[in-house]
Amino acid sequence: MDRKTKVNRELANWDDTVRRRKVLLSNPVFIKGLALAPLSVAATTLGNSLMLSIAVILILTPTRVITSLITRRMSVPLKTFFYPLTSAVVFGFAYYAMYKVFGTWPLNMGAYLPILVVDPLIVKNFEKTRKESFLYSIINGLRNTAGFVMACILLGTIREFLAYGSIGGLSIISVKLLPMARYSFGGFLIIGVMCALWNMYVNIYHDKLKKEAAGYELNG
Amino acid sequence: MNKTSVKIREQSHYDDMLLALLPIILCACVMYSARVLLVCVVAFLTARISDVAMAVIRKQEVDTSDKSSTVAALVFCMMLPVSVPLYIVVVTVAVTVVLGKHAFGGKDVYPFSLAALAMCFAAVNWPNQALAAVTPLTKVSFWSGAAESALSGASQIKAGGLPYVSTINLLLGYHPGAMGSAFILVILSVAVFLLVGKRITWHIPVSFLATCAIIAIVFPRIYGVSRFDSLKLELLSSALIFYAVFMLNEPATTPHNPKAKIVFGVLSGVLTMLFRYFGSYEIGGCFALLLVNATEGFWDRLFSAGGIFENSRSFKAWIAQLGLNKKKAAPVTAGNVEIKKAKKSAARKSADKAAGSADTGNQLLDIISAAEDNIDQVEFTTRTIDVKQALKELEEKQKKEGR
Repeated sequence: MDRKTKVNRELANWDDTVRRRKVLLSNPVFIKGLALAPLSVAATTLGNSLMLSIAVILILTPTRVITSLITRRMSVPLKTFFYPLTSAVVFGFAYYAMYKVFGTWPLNMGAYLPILVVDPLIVKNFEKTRKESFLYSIINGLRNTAGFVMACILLGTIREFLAYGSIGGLSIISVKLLPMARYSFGGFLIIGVMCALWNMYVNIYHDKLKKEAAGYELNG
Repeated sequence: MNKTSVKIREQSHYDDMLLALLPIILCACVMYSARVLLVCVVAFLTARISDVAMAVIRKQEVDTSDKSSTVAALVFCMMLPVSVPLYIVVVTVAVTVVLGKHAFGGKDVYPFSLAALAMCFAAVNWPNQALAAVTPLTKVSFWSGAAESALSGASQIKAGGLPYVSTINLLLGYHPGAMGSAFILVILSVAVFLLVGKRITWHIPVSFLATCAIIAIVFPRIYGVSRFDSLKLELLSSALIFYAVFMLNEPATTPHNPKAKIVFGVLSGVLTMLFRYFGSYEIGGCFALLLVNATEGFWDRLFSAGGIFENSRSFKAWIAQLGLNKKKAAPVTAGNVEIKKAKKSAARKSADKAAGSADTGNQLLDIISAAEDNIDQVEFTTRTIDVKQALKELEEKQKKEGR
């Protein structure tokens, strides 16, 4: 497929493109605003972000897959009930695995690790009245997980650099550029700025596609 | 006063604020060192660069006449100690201009006082550096800002102590503190200049300082001195007067109605003293101002035409609904009948008068709409536009043209 056809097709099916590219164009954190509470409070350093990401990797996709299998013949209200329930059961196993591997480190997250069980990132899917197929639940779960992990690690790295002048515990600069980044209100502020920048990037990409398509039309 | 004249007034407000800051910066240079100028230049450049960058990002024209960021940056500098590291100034001013001003829509529409926002941001992030105090005429390193720090009067009071500074030194600003917020005499003379030039009004500063003074007298927190001495130390050893003159009069973040201004000042005073008495920072005024800024539009609406206190009809209707204005029926006497007749005739007369004035009002509206149609023909030569004069000129022009 040549570039011209690709650009025109992407532009014509912009909504589909956004849905397909969940990691960037429809990032669950920066575009949809999901999972803001654990990110603004717990993702203060790269280490904490990794821990949060691992928890989400272990919980999100399995929850979606299991729920899609269980709730195939259930009504929507029952589905609503089963989402957090499945998530809680999966979290039990995930927490045990993390405890075995990382020791007491996951405890640094406080309540924000177990709170993932009822996080909109995980339970938002129950809103859909359409039944989710097994394959779609895996693909969608992985896309969402990748989007969250990317946002979480990016945010944790930026916050650690701004608050402590280090990345992953390694000192980079002696100056603390924004000490408030270690607090939850500072995290919220940084998430806000990153959301704005992300939206700007999506708009620029959209405009670029439009311009390219217009250029192809002009040149025949 | 039309919209154009309001905008012109706001711009000249910022011009005069810049002019008013000059003597304070000069005093700070004499008392501390030339580093004051360095800090001011860095803040000024950061504010301008942030403004330009945001204009580019927002795809807008760069407005060179907008000086609100510059004034806020310089006011913020005057509240910092001379020893402040430069990166703190750069980060704080950039964040304030980008997030405090442009994220809310930019010029004339930002809701929070930029200088107060900057000071709160700096105090929360770097309390040791941003709230430090340096004794005047001590040696300060030009580039690094390294200097021997001292305990400011406000911190001594906060810690339950008693600052030993004479009244004349308090007035001259010759005691450990921030760069420019302690020169009481200079600030007061600048306030007179701004008041005479009608760039600020008395409502907010007077109501704010009076409230602070009343609270300081009624509930003194400095023990071992008289109430008058307590009041003197509260008002002069901190930056209260500086807040009243430079921060509480920003046109974009304060009410425009005089009554609303007084309420705004009183509320700011109460919250400032509460923050100073019970808060953990000495710059209670900045936190209080941010809180009160959020209510600015509310006070204006409340006291402007149509607001509950101004619209007597709705107020009366409201009272009537509550049944509070039920009067006893007066006995029918010859005197009462005469009074009723006199009242009726007076009401008739006033109704006629109102009808006449309505005609005049309609004519005036016609003239204004004609003026709006021909707005390009009206010459705006003065800073504050005289609408009546402009309308007269327009009428004469139309007569000449035979329209």
